[in-house]
Amino acid sequence: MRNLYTAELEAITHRVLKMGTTLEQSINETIRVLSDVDAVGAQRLIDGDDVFDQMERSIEQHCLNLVAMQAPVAGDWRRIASIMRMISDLERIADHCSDIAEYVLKLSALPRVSQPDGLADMLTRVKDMLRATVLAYVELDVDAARAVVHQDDNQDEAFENMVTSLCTLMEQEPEHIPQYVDYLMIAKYLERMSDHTTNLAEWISYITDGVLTK
Amino acid sequence: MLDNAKPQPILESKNLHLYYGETEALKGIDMKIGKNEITALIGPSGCGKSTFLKTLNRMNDLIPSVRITGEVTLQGKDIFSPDVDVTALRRQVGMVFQKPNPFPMSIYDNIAYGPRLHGNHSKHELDEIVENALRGAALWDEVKDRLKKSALGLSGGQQQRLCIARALAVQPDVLLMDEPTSALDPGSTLRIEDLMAELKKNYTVVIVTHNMQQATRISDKTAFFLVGELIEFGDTKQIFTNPHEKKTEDYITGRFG
Repeated sequence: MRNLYTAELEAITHRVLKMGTTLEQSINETIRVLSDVDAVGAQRLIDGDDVFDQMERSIEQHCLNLVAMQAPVAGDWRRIASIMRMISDLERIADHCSDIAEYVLKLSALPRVSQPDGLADMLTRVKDMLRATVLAYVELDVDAARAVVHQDDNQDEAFENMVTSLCTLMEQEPEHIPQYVDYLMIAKYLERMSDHTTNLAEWISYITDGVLTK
Repeated sequence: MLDNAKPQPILESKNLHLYYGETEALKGIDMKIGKNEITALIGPSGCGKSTFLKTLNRMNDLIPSVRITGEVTLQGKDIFSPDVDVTALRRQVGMVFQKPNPFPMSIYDNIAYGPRLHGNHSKHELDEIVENALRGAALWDEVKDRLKKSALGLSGGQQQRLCIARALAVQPDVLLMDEPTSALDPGSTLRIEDLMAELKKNYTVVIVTHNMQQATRISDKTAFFLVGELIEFGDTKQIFTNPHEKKTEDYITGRFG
């Protein structure tokens, strides 16, 4: 029954998965260019951001067509409605990769300072949260999705700690304030990326059990 | 407290079983139908939804092989009780069918037929009843200048609204509708759906529909039947966004049918 419709739903589901895994690659690359303060790599990331905008628009159109033509209900409806929100969060996370890359460009023009302690943990957490979210999406694993939501508290705490330690560094090394301000902004983007990943996880829960936790 | 906020059930079936000879068509249906609500009955052909609907005003009594156990109460009173006057029951619980079935007589006489049958012959009162019923069915403005013309000259959608008006003329409490728009074009269908939203202010409506979108558009509650069983019954919003039963989900998403 409804073979074409089911195939369309599956196609949309796979396109979102593809967007998620492409984003994982972007995050890995963001971590690398940040750690190497690699201006060339950063510029490449910024230039590549259009891909996510296109994916978002195209998947959104696909969803709107399916809603208009096939009137999905129940679990199918929850999936489409959630996907339409999720692609926006995915696109925002990609934007923040690009935002971080902009700060890498700025940092590359300044004398090098060592990467502040704690930033690596924040980067790893973003990466792990997104990986777990992508897996939860594939498996429709509501427990895994909830675990991601809990991770966000740790990221918020890590950001607060970053603020404190960056303030101390700025006091100790006033000549490096511009670099530390850049790192502060980067930490803020990482905190926001975790927020968007949390949104993704909450939508996955909604697809799976119909409970909106927002 | 929450329970008090819910509409009082006007109709209630308890452990209702119905047999056509040896075949069990309804298998222990428990359902409370809220007053001034629209309840949609959905399910594949042969699932028992129309049988259930017809049981609510004892239309099945016309079939000799039918045997019923369990209970249906209307405002607390058992409709199968020996002292129930079936004609009076059907006045209280009116019915509109799939295909419009106007009588081959004038528009006016179609509406006045029921009240006359119940002994009302006052022209003044009948005029008032006819106008109110036609207004109630959102047909008055279209037919007020041709009340004496044959009802058979009306369009399909108008004929169906005439049948609704005819049901309203005897001032029922409940209106049963068996796929009332399946023979109508989309425009007439939407007009009937708008009308149902109006009717709900004064009447309780139970509708059988094969059109899922219609159920979502108009009903407060949805009941899903499958091979004689009531699989799931709940708020329409819940059934169509987050059904609790996999069978319901499979049916409404078109995974089987």
